[in-house]
Amino acid sequence: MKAAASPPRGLAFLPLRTPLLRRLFRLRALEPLPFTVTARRIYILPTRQGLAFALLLMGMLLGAMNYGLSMGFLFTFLLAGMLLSALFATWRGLLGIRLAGIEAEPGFAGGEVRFTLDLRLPDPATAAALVVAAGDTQATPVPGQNGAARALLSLPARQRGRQALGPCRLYSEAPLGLFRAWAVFTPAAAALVWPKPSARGLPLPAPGGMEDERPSGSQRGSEDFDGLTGYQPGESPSRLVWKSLARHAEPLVKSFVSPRGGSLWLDWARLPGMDPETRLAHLARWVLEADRMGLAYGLHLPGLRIPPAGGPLQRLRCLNALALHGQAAQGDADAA
Amino acid sequence: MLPETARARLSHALWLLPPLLALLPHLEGLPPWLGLTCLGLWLWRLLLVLADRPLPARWLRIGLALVALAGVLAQFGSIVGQRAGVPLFILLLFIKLLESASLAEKRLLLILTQFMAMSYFLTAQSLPVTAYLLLVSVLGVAVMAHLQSGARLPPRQAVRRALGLFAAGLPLALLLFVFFPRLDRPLWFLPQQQGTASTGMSDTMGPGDIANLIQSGEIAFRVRFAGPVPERTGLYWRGPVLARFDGRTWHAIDRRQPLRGEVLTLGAPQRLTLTLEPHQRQWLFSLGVPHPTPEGTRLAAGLQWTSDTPVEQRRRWDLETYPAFRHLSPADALADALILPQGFNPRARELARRWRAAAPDPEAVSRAALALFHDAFAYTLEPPQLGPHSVDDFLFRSRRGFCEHFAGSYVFLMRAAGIPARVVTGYLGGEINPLDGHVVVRQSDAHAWAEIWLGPEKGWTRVDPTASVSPSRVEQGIGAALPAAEMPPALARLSVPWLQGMRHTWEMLNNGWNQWVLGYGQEQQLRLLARLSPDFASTRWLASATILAGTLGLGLLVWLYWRSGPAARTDPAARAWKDLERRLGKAGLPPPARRARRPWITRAAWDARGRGSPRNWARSPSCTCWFVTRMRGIAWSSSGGGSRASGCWIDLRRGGRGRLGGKLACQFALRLQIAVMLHVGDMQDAPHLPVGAAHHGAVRAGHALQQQQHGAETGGLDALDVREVEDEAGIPVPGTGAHLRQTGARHAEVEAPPDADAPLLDPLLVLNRKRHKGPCR
Repeated sequence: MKAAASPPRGLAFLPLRTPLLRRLFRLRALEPLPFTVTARRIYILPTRQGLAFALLLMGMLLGAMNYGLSMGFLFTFLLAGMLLSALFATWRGLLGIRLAGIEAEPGFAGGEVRFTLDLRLPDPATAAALVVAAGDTQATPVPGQNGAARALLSLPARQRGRQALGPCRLYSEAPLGLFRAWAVFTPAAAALVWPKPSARGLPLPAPGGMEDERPSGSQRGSEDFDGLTGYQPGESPSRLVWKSLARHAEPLVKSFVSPRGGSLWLDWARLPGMDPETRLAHLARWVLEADRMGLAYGLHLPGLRIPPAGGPLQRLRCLNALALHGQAAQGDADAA
Repeated sequence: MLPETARARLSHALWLLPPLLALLPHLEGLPPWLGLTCLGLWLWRLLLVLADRPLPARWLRIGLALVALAGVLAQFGSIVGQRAGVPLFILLLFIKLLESASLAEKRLLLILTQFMAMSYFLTAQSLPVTAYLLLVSVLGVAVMAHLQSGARLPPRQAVRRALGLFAAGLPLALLLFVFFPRLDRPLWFLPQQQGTASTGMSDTMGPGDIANLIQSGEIAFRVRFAGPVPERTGLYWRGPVLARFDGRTWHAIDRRQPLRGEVLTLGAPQRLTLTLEPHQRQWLFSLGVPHPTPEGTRLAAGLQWTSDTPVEQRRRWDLETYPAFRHLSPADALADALILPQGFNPRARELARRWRAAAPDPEAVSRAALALFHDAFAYTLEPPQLGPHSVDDFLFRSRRGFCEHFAGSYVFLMRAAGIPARVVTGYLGGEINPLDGHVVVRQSDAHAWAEIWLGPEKGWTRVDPTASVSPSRVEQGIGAALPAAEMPPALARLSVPWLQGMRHTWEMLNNGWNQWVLGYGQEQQLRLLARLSPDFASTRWLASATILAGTLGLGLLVWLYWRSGPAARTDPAARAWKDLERRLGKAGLPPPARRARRPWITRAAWDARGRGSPRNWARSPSCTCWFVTRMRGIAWSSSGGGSRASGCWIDLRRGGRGRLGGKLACQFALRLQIAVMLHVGDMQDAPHLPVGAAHHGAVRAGHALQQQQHGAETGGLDALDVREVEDEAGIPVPGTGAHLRQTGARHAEVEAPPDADAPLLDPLLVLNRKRHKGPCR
């Protein structure tokens, strides 16, 4: 968006944790959705050019008074009236905008999480003049049908766990760019941040890692062909798929499943002697690897067991569990 | 049609248009080099935009600004003040064009353009100038809107938006214009405007001066008589009185001297309103003697009506003036009125002496002089050159002249004959504008005549020597008195009747503009306020009232803002409900409890339906009917003109008539009831279901109902449970839980108008999302 190049800086740096300021700006801890921009939530200040205009009007008024120019008076007052109606129009441009919902897309720590704000505009024509900003990113809503508009905010994913969207600013300088109206709100929206997978690490554990699962689950074996997996040091060269070496960077091996073998368990307990975050990073890497290889796998964390399965849903389930590991209590407090 | 790229480029250059338009009126008054430089800079910038080239280097722009500064300094000898400041401002603005590339800079430039446009009012404030500058201003704002939209707003819509903004600000502007306190003196020292001397009377009168003045068709002043306009032969507008003669030129009596002697007014006064155009001088014109003299003016020596300060703006006075008066001067003043320079015009002196010897009566001498003029002289605008003995030359050689020749030589003759005499300049006659009844006096009506002293019984008496040469000058005006070949161009136009009519119309408009808009100053403001109440008529009161009104207005805004909850402002149904509660309260009925709202509304809608025709609803005094009628209006209007809704409306309009009508009305009542219920019921718990969505939901509910009941009669509908309708129609009603089972496919089955889809799905989306245990929350 060319029209409004920067978010309102002044507010971004305000220490909004101060109770007085919080009250002044009516910042609630979290806004339930849908959130409607009401009159009391809109702040408005002149832009630099707006100030320049006001100063110039003062100059015009003084000139008209000094030289006794009737037309100078009329002109000055007309422009002042125009300025005032522009002020109102700017304010009006935000009024009644509704934030109907937010879709949060999870991401890995160090990557980005994406929030899609689903806005309802009383006047769809104003969409182009709006800017939604959170943190250091901003976006202009893309109008859809019937007053709906979607704004996509990509925020850097910082830490594993829940990442709240944080205070959002919705602002507009339409119609003349002489005033900037904005509303600040903190929607109750958070995206999950998955742990950053460790770059290199231990190979996938052998199937049947868990004691109690060994007799019943399937295990990596030699009888039934199950697919291709990544090469692990120590595997028999006879299982290597030589043709794949031309196409893939990593060598692949044929994987076989022994019917009586245990299933693949990605187990917290298999990574002893590491701090929890490193463990989670390894587990995340395992999940991704296992998923890429199309294996069925289960996840075992202290206090949580996800039975083995495959597919994107399992991947999501496991990554989410990793993201929320050890944070459940805090997460509940957030949601409340 | 231009190719697409060229048009896009041109639209990028749109912001260059207002500065150019604002420059155009200034061009005439600017030095040519300055105007051409501005145009050149403008063209340069235009070419840069069209060619999509980068801006010139910074040092070049700074250099240009310095050169501009030096140029203005060299031209005007200063860089401040009105004369040098405005050209410098314009020049710098056009240099700034070369550094404006970003949106903010362009915006600032357009704001400065507004100032440039307004500065032209220092030069002229006429009606067409104002209209033009207003146009430029609106265009400037439109271009700002266009820029702000990222050039997406089409120009026509941008202009419309700008007009809308101006229109919204107009009431405030007018209010401020009328009530903003005006000053009667400048805030700071105003430099005398050099070089702006307009044509007009002067302090001196030499041969040919008034003849030059006659060429101008400019208006000197306008007069509106309270009674009928007097004969034009009586319209001698008395101005500067000239008493000192240096052999060639007559000089005015020093106006700093006080009036001496006695002035007796005779007969009834003329009441008139005189609007004088600014002439930068102090003398004023009136019919005879104004009495009492208005504030800021006085009668000076020689009975000259004089302003205390130079007339730099158009001024208006309400006068009582006495055309007939007797002015008695003391003896020393009379002696001054006899002085003639020695050594000039011996033949004229000799002639006067002979006349005086023949008849000692001053009036007889005067008659002799007038007879001489009448018999042998001609009235012409192009008199021959006169030698150093100008009076002798005129009297005995050329014998052709204009009023200043006649008045001057007449006074010379009288003084030579020992009769105190003085020259009076001013205007004679005037033109009545038949449209507004104003008498318009122009420079071409300039005239000079004489006053001679006829003893203490008669005092100073007016004698017009021109009248004896050319009576038509006095009776019909200058146009009739001059030969056709000499007609000045300013007067020639007058002969074409339709042109004259147009000119009258134009001058009436212009005069109205001058009188009521331009002339609106402290005096007029106070007069207007005094008309409201005499107590209001003081500047201090006005100032305090302005501050008070501003504070109160601001306070009112704040109060309104605090008072109205967000829901009450944005939601018409909530407003209707509030109003209903108020009406019920008036009728002594308790408003329904919060939980009882839904059944209450259901009941109300059915009641209303029972009355059959919706027309009866509107007529019925019952609150409930009123409420339902109003809800109908809300539902209809908020459905955004969807075809279904308007069809429904048409059904309703027909509703009162015919067999079918009643049935349709019933159906509508049902839809309405559901809509109201959905909406008002919704107010109890978030999320909010918009009225439009509720209405569409109700329409669908009605259709579903029709399918189910196969056109059931009214009685059948009564038994229907509302919940059933909801379920059947697939309408989500918050709190029932039924909506959770609905899917988009279910909606598609029920006939749905295409435009109705999204608003209905909208709350569903929210609801579902709310229940969905996704990654949010």
